[in-house]
Amino acid sequence: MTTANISGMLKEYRSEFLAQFDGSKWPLYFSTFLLAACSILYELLIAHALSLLAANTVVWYSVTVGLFLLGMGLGSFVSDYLGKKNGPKNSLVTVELLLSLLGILAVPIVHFGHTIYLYAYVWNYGGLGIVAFYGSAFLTTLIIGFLTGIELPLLMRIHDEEDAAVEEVNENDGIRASASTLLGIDYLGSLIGALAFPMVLLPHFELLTIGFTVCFINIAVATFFLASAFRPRFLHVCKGAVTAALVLLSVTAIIGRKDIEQYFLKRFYYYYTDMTDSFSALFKVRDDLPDIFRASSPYQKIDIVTEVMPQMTDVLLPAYSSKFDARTSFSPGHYLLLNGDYQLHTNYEEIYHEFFAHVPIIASGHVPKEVLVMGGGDGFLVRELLKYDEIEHITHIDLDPTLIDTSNSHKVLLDLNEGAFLDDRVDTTFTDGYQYVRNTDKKFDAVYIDFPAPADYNLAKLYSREFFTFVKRRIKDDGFGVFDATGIGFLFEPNEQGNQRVDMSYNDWPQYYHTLKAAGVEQIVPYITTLDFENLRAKEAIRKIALRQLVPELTSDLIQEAETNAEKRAVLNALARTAVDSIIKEHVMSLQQGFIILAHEDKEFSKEYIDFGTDLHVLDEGGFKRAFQPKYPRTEEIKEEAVNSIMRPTFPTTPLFEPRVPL
Amino acid sequence: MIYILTPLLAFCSVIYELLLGQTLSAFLGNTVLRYSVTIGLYMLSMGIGAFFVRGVVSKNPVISLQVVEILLSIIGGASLIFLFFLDWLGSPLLLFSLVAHSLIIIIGILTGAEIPLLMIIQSRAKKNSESKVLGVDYIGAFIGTIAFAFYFYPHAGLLETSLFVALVNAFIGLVLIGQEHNVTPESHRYFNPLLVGQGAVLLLLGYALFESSSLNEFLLQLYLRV
Repeated sequence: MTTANISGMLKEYRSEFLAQFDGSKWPLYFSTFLLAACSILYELLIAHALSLLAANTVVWYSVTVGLFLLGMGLGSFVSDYLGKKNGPKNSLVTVELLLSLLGILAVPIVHFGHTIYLYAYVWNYGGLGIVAFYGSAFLTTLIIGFLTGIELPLLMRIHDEEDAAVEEVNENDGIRASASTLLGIDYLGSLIGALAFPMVLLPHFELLTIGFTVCFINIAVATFFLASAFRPRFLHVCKGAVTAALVLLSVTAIIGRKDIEQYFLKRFYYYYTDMTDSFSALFKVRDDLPDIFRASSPYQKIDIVTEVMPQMTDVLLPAYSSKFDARTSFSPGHYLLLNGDYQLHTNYEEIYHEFFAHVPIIASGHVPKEVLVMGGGDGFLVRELLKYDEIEHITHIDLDPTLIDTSNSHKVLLDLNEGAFLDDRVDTTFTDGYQYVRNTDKKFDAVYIDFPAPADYNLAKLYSREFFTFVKRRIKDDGFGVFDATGIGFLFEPNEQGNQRVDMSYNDWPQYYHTLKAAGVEQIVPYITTLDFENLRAKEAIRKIALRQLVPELTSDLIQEAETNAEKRAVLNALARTAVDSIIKEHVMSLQQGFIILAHEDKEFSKEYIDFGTDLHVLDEGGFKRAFQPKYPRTEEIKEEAVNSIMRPTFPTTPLFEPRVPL
Repeated sequence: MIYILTPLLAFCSVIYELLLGQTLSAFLGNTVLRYSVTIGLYMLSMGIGAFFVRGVVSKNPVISLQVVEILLSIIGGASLIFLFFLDWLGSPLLLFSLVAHSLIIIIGILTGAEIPLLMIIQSRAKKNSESKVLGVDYIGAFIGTIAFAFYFYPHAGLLETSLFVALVNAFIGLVLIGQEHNVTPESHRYFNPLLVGQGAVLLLLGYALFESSSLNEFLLQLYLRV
């Protein structure tokens, strides 16, 4: 084939391309374009709502796209049989009215599905709940796809009908001329919709609001075609009335969008406040629940949720943390959540952050000068590091300016992080941490990695062999790196010496260990935040509660059998002791969190505690010693199937299908 | 036959797209943006591909389909390797992103051309089968998306997936041998050379798949600049 040949072909394509557009058909072209954009937006809305409620963005985006396409396929099968009697315009009006209704309801349906899941979960019908949750979301996607699939062939028939030419069939390929023109416009609309969603809509609007607003386009198109084919017939008048009702519904929804959003947020985060066995408990939200703070960015939803149920941990904490010494009562705690993933609780964040920041420094024996902090947008880790005057400079890398703004302005966070990001020694750069360690040449005395847990394929990248290879290169010879290794803190109950063995049944240690090995990290040192199980003050504080819990036991046989009051008291005390021990065990173990230090071969770590004179609330010599006590299994050879790589992720280790249970 | 080939082809092409979307998000970050853009571009370029099926292309559907399959198996199978090399050469992010998106568009266009070509081959015998062909096409795409998210990415990995899917494409190219009777006499001289070329690609891909773990390691070494 010669060049002239090809250029001739291209010219032919061009003139054919231009010739296919008919000047009088612009309303039709425009409708096709808009409708395609709407449909893909609805699809992405559901995909995103699902990924907020069930983690695993990649999975839900893929699955909903697939379902949407499947629905479109089914729709195009069916469309040939529609509108035979009343004409394609009438069918299109019906399709659009249905689509706009679904557009309004799509996100609420996914949320209600999740409510049903939580309800079923609490009552131990989790499996049934999963079916209800995904069933409702998938069915909605499928129906939206189905209606979209019907749409296009109907538009093609309207196009041909207006042409008055019966069926303009292209001799060569047997595909209608209108088909390729409208198909092209339809695809263009899909592209624009798909671009608008992540770039414009998602960062600025709530999912609910997007659905409430976008449906107006469907309504407008329905109105246009209804008007153009209107005859004073009963059916047409009915459709007019439905259109008006839909407009009213979406306008009301837009006006009340803040309340509707809060309603769903509260149903999500405070699901446990009413789980009575009644139908109304499924939909009711208690009036006295505090509002939830939500900030949206292109990357995540930032939620701050007020604690509404008093927790046993609140009673325990003053025994472990001197932070509460000066306080007589607890202010309600707050949770910080990113995309629905739990990050921290304000009342016990310092347990986590003190162990995170100080343990590697104490083990190093000296304070680093140049520090890199990646993630940790709440500012608590940086607050801990700023306690050392010896730290000269902190390079802070975060992806999301909105999160840093929130930390610098939201009262709850700012009070606790003490304006850490505003300190002169801290420089924040907004960029992807993965790209930063890959591209920078700088080396640091200490690298702190405080990212969300690898609950998703895209977060798994931040725990990959490739990432740690880059991190290793950024650590000076006598420096260290440390990261929060969610999923290695599973330990058995302490034995008589107070030592805990590692429970490997659900442990993610193999994934982290072999990934770090494959990244060429020479020293891999895990440690755990461990509070003292034998803390006397904690026992005293819990005792009262334990005794109260034991009231039903007072009638038990042991008490009945005891003859004297002294004997009764002794039995009761023994019962109380066991109860106190088990309560403390349970709660201390729930606060155990694993970290992993990485370093070069020659770096020396000592297990001796050094007091640098920093103001610590929780961490002491005992805590430091206990942190290194659990022994993790190691092998010399690398187990390939455990290595987490960007080419093949081994995180998340939790089942991909499990919906979120918040908090 | 068309009802088996169509979903298989759709399965392959949607997996290429997800693969490239995932590679993009691995290299450039921001998964939601990458996925949405990939979906949008894929649909658009499929539309463009369908538009190109006219004139010369549609007169020799079997030969055209052969060319499309060879291109798809080469471009799809090599896309990941190519992107890693591009990165290794020190390409700026903008160029990298342009090339990766172009690959999405090229694969989309080729995929978009496949279906009408298959329809033409089919419709020589039977008219008005287009909506059914479209239907099975969508079913294939649906299975592809599920398979990618739950099996191919977490278990086979990006490289093996790309090679495997390209292998399926090459295999389909060879299956067209049974369509010799549909080839017009004037273009028949292209038929056998194309088959041989497709066979060569198939063998090459088979070898690459066989050696995929060392190839994977090699690409990673490039990426990590060891």
